[in-house]
Amino acid sequence: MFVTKIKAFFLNLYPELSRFPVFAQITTTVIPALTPRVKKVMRWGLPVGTIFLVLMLGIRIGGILLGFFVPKEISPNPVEVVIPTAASSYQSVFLPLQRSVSDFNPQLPDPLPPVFDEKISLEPITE
Amino acid sequence: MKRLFAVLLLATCYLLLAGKALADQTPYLSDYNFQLDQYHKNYAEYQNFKNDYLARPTLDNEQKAILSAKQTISSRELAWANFILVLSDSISSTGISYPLSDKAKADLATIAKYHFGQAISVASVVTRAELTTFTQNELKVTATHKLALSQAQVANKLVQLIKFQTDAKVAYDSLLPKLTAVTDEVSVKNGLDQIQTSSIQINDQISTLAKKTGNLATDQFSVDQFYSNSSEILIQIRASVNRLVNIIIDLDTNYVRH
Repeated sequence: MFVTKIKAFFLNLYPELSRFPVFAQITTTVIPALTPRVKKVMRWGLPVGTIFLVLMLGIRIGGILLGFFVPKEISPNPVEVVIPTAASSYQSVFLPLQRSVSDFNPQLPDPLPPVFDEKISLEPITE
Repeated sequence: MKRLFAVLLLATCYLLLAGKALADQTPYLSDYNFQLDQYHKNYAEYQNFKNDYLARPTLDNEQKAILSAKQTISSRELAWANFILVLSDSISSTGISYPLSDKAKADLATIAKYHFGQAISVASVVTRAELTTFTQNELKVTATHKLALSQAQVANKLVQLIKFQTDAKVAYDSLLPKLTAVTDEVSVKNGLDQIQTSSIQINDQISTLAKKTGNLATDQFSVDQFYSNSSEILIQIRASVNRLVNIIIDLDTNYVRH
């Protein structure tokens, strides 16, 4: 009975359905009275609403299904960053001593002795 | 007026700084350089007079040559004396008292006195024969000075190294109280141990060279060989002192809170 009512309702909205035998049988059944305005709104609104509903459902179902197939999160290896050692600005007070030691000349003789003629005389030079 | 004032100010600064720079040098160095210059001039003249005399042995040429030779000897002796004072002053300037350096200073004083004396006594030379005798005596005496001069050269280097070591000890003593908070750290412990080891090593190296230098005998003495061997040891001592100072600086820089 309920099905028949539904069929009659659709037949009222879409008279083209009377071509189908399923709907042709109920042409005589009581068709609910609809004002032409409501009838027009429902005639176009129902398919649009259905499409909208299907789309929403599809997106929703797609979203739920997507939740099952979330790819593993891939994180890149940490990039090696060379952190320079913080250079101390402190200059040791003993650095002058280090410089003095480095400047020390270990070569002998120092000071260099002068070279003199130790044989000053009026004798002829003999080899 | 302002310009004149600025020029005067600059001139005053220059004079003050130049005066200080000259005062920093050993006072004997300028005397030594002056006498060395005099010697070179006199020696060139002496060679000319001597050649003239040998070519024409007249009495006049002989007197000129003898006079020139005396002037040359005088400037040579003064140059020697001042050179020895430069060396002695270099040893004294460190303020270090060490058996080898104390002996060297005494020897140098004697040698300098001898050369100053010779610069005066050459004035008594009159004849060619006296000049020859003077030179022969001089050669005999200066031969005995060679050993003492070589020892003084080593003593001069040793006192400088001892001075560095003393300065390093002062640095270490000032550093030690600042390290009390970190003495348990392995690197600090190692550093302090290395300081002890290096100090002992330096002491040994210095006393070995001093002993070797002090025990030198005139008959077994070759100046070049002695200088070469001593220089090698001095290089080793310098390396040890350098290592010691580097450790002290490392501790001061990295482990003391500044």
